[in-house]
Amino acid sequence: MRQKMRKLLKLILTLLLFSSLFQTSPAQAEQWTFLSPSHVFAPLLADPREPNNSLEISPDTTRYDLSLGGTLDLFQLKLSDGNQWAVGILGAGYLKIIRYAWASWRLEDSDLWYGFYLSQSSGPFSNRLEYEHGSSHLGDWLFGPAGAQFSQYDQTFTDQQAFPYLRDLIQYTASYQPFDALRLYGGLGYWLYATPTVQLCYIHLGAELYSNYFTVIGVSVRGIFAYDLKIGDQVAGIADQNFQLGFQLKSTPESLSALNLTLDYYNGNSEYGQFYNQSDNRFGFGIAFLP
Amino acid sequence: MELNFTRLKHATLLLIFFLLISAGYLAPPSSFADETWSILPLEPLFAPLIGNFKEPSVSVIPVDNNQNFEANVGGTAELIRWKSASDMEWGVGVFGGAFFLFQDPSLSQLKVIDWTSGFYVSEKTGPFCFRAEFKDEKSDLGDEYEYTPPANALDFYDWHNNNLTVSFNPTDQFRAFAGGGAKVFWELYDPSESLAFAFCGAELYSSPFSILNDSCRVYGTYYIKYQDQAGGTFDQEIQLGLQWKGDATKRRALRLAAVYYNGYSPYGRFSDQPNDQYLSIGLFIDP
Repeated sequence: MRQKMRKLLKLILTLLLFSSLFQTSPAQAEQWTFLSPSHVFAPLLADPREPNNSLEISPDTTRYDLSLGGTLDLFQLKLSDGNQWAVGILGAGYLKIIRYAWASWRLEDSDLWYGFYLSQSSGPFSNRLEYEHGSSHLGDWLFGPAGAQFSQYDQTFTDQQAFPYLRDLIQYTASYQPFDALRLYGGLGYWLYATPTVQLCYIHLGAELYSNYFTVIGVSVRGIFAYDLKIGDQVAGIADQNFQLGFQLKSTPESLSALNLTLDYYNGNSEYGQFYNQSDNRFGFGIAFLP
Repeated sequence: MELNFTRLKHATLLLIFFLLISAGYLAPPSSFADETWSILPLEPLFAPLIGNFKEPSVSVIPVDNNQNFEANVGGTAELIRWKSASDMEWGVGVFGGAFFLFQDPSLSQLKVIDWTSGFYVSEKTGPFCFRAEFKDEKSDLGDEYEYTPPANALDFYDWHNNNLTVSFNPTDQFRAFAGGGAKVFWELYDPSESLAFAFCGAELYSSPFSILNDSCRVYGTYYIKYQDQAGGTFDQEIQLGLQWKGDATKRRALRLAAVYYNGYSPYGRFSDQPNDQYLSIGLFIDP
């Protein structure tokens, strides 16, 4: 109980410290919006743990990474000086799926994360401070003595022993977008609680590049390149990198919803909790629905 | 032979169903002047059924006095919208959802996860809206059962179905819907239970009122489903709660509702287990 209280206090203090950096007088309040379709802090494209709705298919078509979820600004406050604030919630399920025969899939791992955030933007700068709670669960078909191998449909699989994987995370991300074509971001993640125990924090960096829009059959399209890097995320000295190169489709350039079609390359340790200390290198085709 | 006959019967029924629905629209529309195409509209043409516990959604529901905790993520993304006439629209999209059942809100022990995906075609004319789906449903046990598999769970749960829903929405305050579906014809299954299903329900909303300048409505939903499995099963869900919107004209909403479920377990691996019943409070997000 005492530990929980300490954690809660730590969280409140962090939030207060963060918010004090951007204090404004009440007279500047201009407009409140509830459940806005837009985001004060635009979701990150290439972070594999950014809640969104996406599917990545490996070219050998035996592995599918399905992400379901999103971020939602519950309240947005727009001030007359151009500052914007938002309080929001996030939640996502991440499913690692293996296709073992034609049109037959099995679940290898399912992770669930949920939490809330405070975000702020002013001109080209935006910030997001989030708290997340998550867990990871091994697919039942891999239950068995760790390391034991079994074959199904001409493929060999390795059993694994499930272990408790629980996390409480505070992550801060600062983003700088000087113009539409470029966005840079960086931040820190701090594990408030981790089972199994891991090093306390990690560094998070990334960039997004966009081309100008062009029109294809009445659809607004632009090229995108996104890169995400996490250093020391759960395993010391490991760099988890994700690259995305492709196109973003919108009905109009101003539209909030978009479809991203990308070639993805991931290199590092697995982002799935039950495999977090195993290396994972993959190339895939990604489809993501934004927001 | 019986298996083939049952398959053929389902395929024929499904074909007739689609032909009946499409027959009304085979005639050329009265005017092409309003014909437009668009991609990725913010909201699907066929509004998801908020009372259907297996409709992809974002929600959390503590059940059984916090002994179980449901968390659902997922949604619907409409890819293409075609307005074929001034009073007729079509939508094509995809959906996906994951339905987690945990031992408790800490998420430490997963009991079961159902996951579903598929695509749909929908059509809307006036107050009527139709949605035909191809749906893949799967269910996996969680790590809580790693060493002690439950005796009452099915060994495997993996099936594809086609289904059709007809919705009638004459006013903002009332919506009724009904539909049915069956396993796709190419799948093998026990001929003694076809797994064909039918469902119906309704959504009722109060007049909007304002809380903190945002639009609120009291709402209630009822959903009942019959499925030809385990001798015939009935599942029903009732929701009574508050819907809170920033923009009354948009679908995006937050809902807080009392939820009552009664029937067989909604989770695939336990789907032939009766007497699953709970009353709880759920938080839902309609994106």
